[in-house]
Amino acid sequence: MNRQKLWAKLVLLIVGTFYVLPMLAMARFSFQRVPVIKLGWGTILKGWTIQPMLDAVTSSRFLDAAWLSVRLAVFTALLSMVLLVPTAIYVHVRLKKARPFIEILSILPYVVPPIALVVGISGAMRNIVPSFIASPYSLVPFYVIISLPFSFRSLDIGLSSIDIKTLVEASRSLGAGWIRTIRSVILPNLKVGIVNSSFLTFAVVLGEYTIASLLLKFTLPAYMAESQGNNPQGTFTVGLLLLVVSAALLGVMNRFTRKKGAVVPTVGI
Amino acid sequence: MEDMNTDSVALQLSALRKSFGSTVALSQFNLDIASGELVTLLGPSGCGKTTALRIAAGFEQPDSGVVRLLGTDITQLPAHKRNMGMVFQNYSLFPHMNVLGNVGFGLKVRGVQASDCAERSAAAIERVRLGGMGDRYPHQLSGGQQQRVALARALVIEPQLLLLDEPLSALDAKVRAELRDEIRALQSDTGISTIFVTHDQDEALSISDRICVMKDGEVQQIGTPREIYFKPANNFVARFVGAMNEIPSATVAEGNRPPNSTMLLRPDAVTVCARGEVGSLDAEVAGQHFGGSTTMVRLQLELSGVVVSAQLLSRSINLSVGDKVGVVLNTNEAIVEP
Amino acid sequence: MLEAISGQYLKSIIFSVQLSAVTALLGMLFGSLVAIAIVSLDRMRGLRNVMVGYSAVAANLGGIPLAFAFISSLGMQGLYTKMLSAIGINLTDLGFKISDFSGIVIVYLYFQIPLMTLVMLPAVDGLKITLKEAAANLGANSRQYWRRVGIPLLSPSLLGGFLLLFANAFAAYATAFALSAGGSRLVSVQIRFFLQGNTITGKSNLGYALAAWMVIVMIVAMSGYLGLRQISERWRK
Repeated sequence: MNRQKLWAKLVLLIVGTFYVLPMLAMARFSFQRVPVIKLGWGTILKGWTIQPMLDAVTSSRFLDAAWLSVRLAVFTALLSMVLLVPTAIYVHVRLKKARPFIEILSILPYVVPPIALVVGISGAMRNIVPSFIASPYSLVPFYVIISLPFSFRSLDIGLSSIDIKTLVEASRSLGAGWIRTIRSVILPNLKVGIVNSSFLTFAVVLGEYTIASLLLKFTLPAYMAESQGNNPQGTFTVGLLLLVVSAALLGVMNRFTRKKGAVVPTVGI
Repeated sequence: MEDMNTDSVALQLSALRKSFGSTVALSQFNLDIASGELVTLLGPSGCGKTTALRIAAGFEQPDSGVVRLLGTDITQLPAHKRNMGMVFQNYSLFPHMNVLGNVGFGLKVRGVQASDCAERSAAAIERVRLGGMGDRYPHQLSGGQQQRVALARALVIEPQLLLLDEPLSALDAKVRAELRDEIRALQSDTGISTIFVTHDQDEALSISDRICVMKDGEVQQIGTPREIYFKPANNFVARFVGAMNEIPSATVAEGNRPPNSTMLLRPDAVTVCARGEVGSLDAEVAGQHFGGSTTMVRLQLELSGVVVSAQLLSRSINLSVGDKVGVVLNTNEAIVEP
Repeated sequence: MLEAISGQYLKSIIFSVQLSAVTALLGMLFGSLVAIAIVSLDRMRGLRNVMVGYSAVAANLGGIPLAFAFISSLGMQGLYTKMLSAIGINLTDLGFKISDFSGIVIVYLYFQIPLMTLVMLPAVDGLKITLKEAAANLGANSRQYWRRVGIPLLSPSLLGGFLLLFANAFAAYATAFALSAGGSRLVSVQIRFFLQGNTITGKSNLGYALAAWMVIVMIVAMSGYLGLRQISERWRK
């Protein structure tokens, strides 16, 4: 029994190290102005600086890119919620049978690689509404689609954990109308799901590069790809920042979820 | 049963102690199971009955104490070498194996030859009346059927001890009674010494050779079902097994009772008669629960206002609420609690 | 469509499939081990929370920042490349290059392992402790339990997880792109190459064809995933 536990600890230690090491190296590269070649015991504490990060963060290219990414993330999250919350509620209350179907639909974005998605849609759109592809907001519909596996699933889990059908029936039998039921019974119970879903969408959008680069939109990841050459340190700090922000978003979400006793949204098989 | 010598003891649990953190699950637990005997561990949840069973099976190690199987100390022996068959409350069938696979599992891991294994498994399945269902999977079976498979699986390895952990709790009433009788019949036929764990006193009373009533990790009484029911060793046993009236002694006009004591009396020791008969107390019918062959009648004693229940044959009475009657308390059967 | 599966394009499809298969296999192996380790150390609640929380983050990482992290670790000028060479292990001599097959495999594992962990956790949790007890009670030792009960019960989840990881790696694009500065042989990177106009026009049809082949590979993988999921859900009841 004890030997088995030792084995388990060893596995976690090895994998944990694998998780941590790249992040440490990246942090070092970002904040220490000493080439790797010269790194030794004598120089280990020298040259730490946040100047490259400041340079990067204050450059106008960065600010443009970051502002666009944030706007895109907010609009995507909003549009996703407007579309998905009513759908999810409807499916749970009225269309239980359609759930497997909807679930397949929600992992479709996994099936269609983003690159293929953008090839298909932009190909069609370019011919019909050329101006659509020109606007940076043309990314929003793509992002709604690619974040679907995460956003829909966390709503779905949120709804599954509260037996929505019984709640609705109870509320209706106590005399509440549909609007009142949704406003004062369903939504308060679905808060966790909605917050989770938005956070995940947010994180997905912040990190998305494929579609943005194909449609030539200048988002944060596109900025990083571009300036990798001329200010590598600064770019890496932005990368690190992005990792930390998404980690924080997901971390906050995890905490929030656990407190309410719900489940971390995963693709679970 | 009383004069067991060591040869006929199948399992001996001596001075077992087990705690989980700060909660003591078992303290000074002693129990001998005679060979061929069915002993029930009965008690409320958290009384340590399941812990005792799991120690016997080898899933838990006692903090101190000894487990002996046929005289051999097996306290340190790992579970898979103990040769005991266990049936779990939630069936615990292997979901990816069909009935035949489940029943044959124990034989396969013992290296029994395939043909021999199939033959013995089929016989075991036949014995629990599931003949012809060998190729079904657990999710295609009802709860009762699944538990029969579990029973066959436990019996086919010809265990030295059969351990049943609340095997009937997850089943509905009718299936439960049916399977209860079948388990008893199978157990008597095969003569396998058995420990049966339950919190249901009816089950315990009807199936057991002996019952061990437990509370807070301690044995309260060990005895035959009749002894437990009619001669409970203490108030806990008296109250836990069967229904009980609690009557302040002062209401019963008899000199030899201590004044501020309580008298415990089974409802079947209370009878109803015409008002004014010798030895009866005046009472009024306060309510009744029809229960098929018997009816539980609640009677309010007029002098004291105390309510007692009487279990009466439904055919022999015709009472309505408000009827003025006489009540006879058969105090010979009463237990007096100081 | 046919040109897309000939010559160098076929090679790039094969390269992508090989890469996805290798990372999915290794990811499946380590991810499941982590899931089993987490469950078997269940008493250490904090550990589980940290691991699950970080896995949820890491599984959704990828893209450019992740590539950066590995370039600064194992790239030509990477911290650990230098540390290893200081103790006499030269990665380049061993044939390792961050933008090559072996390098991309390592980087992909960074999100493949945690994804597998998340996928497997419910299944491993579902391996009820009483099943292990039932097996032990019937005389099975630990090895027999895993061979006859544990692994067969996990197998649909394992296989389904493999397919999901395969799809995940097959669709990934940004990470490989950043690792190789655009010169990778992955299908996804090649498609972009055709559609960006960096090349002679008239080849964009080839891009569409490659994309179509990609979707076909993915549909096969995902239908397998869904089928296996149903089996494991039935067993878990």
